[in-house]
Amino acid sequence: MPSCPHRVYGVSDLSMHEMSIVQSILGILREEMIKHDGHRLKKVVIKNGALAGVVTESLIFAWDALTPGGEFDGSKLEVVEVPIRVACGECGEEFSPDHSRCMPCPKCEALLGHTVLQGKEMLIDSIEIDDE
Amino acid sequence: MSKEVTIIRNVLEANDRLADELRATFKAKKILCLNLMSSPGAGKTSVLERTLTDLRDEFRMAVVEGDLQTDNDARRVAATGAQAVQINTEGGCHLDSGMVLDAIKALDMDEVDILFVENVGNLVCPAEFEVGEDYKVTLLSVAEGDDKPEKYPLMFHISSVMLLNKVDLLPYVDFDLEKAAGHARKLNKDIEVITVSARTGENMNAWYDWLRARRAEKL
Repeated sequence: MPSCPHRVYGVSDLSMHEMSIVQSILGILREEMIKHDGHRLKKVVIKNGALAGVVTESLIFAWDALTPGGEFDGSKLEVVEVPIRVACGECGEEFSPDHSRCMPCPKCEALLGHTVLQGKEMLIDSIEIDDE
Repeated sequence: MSKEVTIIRNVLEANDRLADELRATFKAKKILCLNLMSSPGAGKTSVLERTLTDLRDEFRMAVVEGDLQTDNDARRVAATGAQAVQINTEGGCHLDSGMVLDAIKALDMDEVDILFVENVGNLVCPAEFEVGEDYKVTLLSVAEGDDKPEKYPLMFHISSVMLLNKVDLLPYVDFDLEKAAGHARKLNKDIEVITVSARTGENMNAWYDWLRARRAEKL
């Protein structure tokens, strides 16, 4: 077989993006633990918007892979999924679309230019800590 | 004692953060990065092959290839002498910044002036995921029909260039150039429409001039 001048990656070889997200979450948690004098993290609540492009199951998988043996060992990750809500770009009608890519306004049928009111969030909502 | 603390901190717009990381790398190395998108078969790889060949004495170019399966495209572009790395998404319908961050580790980024990210053939999902690009370039081939900008508005809305490929086929297809360009401009008044044929080389110079101007901006 001729030698190949390039390399081939399968996605399974890549750090999937939920892994990097969990790493960012861990970074924020470290800061927050110091800020709030936390000794042990019991639970963290994440809000995952339907438009954030993050798969909840993968997030939990990444959390379970990255936390054992570390400072957050044994803590629980709770993911709250946030549905999409938009305001129509034409008539201002607020609605929750059925689909994340095609969002016809129920009032005027406009497809484009909507403002996303919720559903893009990927945020740390709250933490539960032991402070002594 | 146990207590609950409200945090409300944005973890990231996950992909955007990684895209910013890529942009910082490209900026530091003065690399022009283009996200090349189209439906399958519009001619992304053919346009690249010709571009990489015609401009090889002018720029050092590299390609990140995205496909569901196979490394056919990386082989094709690597044959021009350019650095190439293939990502197989194994079903994934688009590339994201995390994939590109990992893929460019296989490239010598100190030897790159222009990086082309050839996205997975798809006029829908790639529009939503930045890959650290300076510009998005959408290819449309005349065989696909002049209604595509109208049908896939987001893609044309966010692209800086519509590269209209296979214009050598115009005599054989019912493609209204003005209609396609008009729709694209309605979605994005600043979109540049460049008509080319990667097969015959027709008007490729207009595309190269655009590339030269954008690359010059990075210096």
